[in-house]
Amino acid sequence: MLQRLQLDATEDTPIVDFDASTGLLSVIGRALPEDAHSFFSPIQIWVQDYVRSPAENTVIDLRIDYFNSAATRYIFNILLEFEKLTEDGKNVRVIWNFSKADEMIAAKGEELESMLDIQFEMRPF
Amino acid sequence: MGRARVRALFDFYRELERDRLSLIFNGEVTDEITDGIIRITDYNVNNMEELAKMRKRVSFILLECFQNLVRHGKPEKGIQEHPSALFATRLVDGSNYVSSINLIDVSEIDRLKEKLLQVNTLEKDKLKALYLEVLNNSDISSKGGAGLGLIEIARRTGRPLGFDFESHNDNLSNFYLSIKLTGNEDGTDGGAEESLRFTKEFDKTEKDSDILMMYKGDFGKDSIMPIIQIIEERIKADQESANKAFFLILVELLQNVSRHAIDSVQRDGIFSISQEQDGYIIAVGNVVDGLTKDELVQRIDNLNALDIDGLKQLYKQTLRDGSFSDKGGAGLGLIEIARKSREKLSYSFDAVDDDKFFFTFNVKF
Repeated sequence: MLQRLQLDATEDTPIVDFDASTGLLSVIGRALPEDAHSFFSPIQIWVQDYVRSPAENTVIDLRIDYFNSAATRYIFNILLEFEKLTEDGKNVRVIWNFSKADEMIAAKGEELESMLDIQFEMRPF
Repeated sequence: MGRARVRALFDFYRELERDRLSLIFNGEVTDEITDGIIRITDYNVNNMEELAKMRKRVSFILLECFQNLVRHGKPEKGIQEHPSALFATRLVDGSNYVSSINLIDVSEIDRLKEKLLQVNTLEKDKLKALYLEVLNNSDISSKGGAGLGLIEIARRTGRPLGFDFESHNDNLSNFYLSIKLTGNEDGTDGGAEESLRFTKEFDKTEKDSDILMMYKGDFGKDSIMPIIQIIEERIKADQESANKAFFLILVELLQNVSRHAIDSVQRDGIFSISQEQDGYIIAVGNVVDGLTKDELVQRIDNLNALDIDGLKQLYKQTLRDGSFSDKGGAGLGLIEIARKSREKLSYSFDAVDDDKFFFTFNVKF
């Protein structure tokens, strides 16, 4: 079993908690790293391993309140990895959490949804 | 109008060329602002060998100055909790210059002047004696501190404090304070006047262009985050325009500088935020090589030729492309900036030498 991936938040990176045993993968906070590669590469590698032996149901719970373009790129690419699960007939779903007042993050979620073959659930709070 | 601003940033850059750090802040001085300014100064001081001797003193002096401001300053508007000030901190040629301009009650001028003249004329031992005397004196003034702050600043800088007063209206006066802190403690290498002159001049130009903040220095991550903290706090004070897109574009613009920097160790640049009636202008400038210049011209011109749908298409296409540039952003950042800007992107290049150009980029929100 893939080891659980847990990262604490920093000033410019979010909390990450990916649990392969439950299929619950959550990202909460700001994603503004200047060096996006160092931050996201280990996450991407983890996800590549995960999609080879995934849980029956995968829930990607995202609650990111700020992100820069470099982070957007990595998040998009990581979500692309999960498309493979849909192709394999697994159940995968993104929960896109955003503040009701935050049109920008809502729009960003819709934009990503339109570009990916994954079920998105928009969840305003 | 826009053109005038473009020139100004390059002019400031040249005037501040020797500065390793210059940060000028104009607005209400809250705890978060204080904290951000101290963090960024500390970070730079800790990374400069020539300032090793004054590491401990810098944040102390800054904190004393801020407390002094809050103690004596008068808020410009009734609704403000903290006084407004123009505050500048500069690291140049191994010294730290701190200056501030804020409003005080006219009735305080005499008392302040007397205190400043006193600390400026006392020798080191006399200052210490005065310090102990005030410290032991239980008769603390209603303003708190009883002058301890100024005595402490004078003791730690070892040289006279620069100061001046200028009438604002019948009740209020502008109070100028300038401090020089240096590793060389004998006070033989000039005072704080030069920095006071710069700050005064900035105050005058700023009155026309409404600059909220200007920063010149390193654009690496450890410098950028405190700056973002300061701006976030500063903009929050102007409720109406508080806008998340603004921060994100700011982050893109600031991170863009270190991406295109000629020297990956010293990622030096300058930026300012000014307020206009209907929004903010962010101007960012840094030196790039000829190749980067050509690439930037082409990319920005391409973006300016697209409408909002065209930009959206290009954004999606670039995101889908998946090819990561070694610089990290792969053009996505610029597209994002163009999508959120209220006007077409404006830029200029000024030749610095044969293959170096000062790139100024203006974005309006």
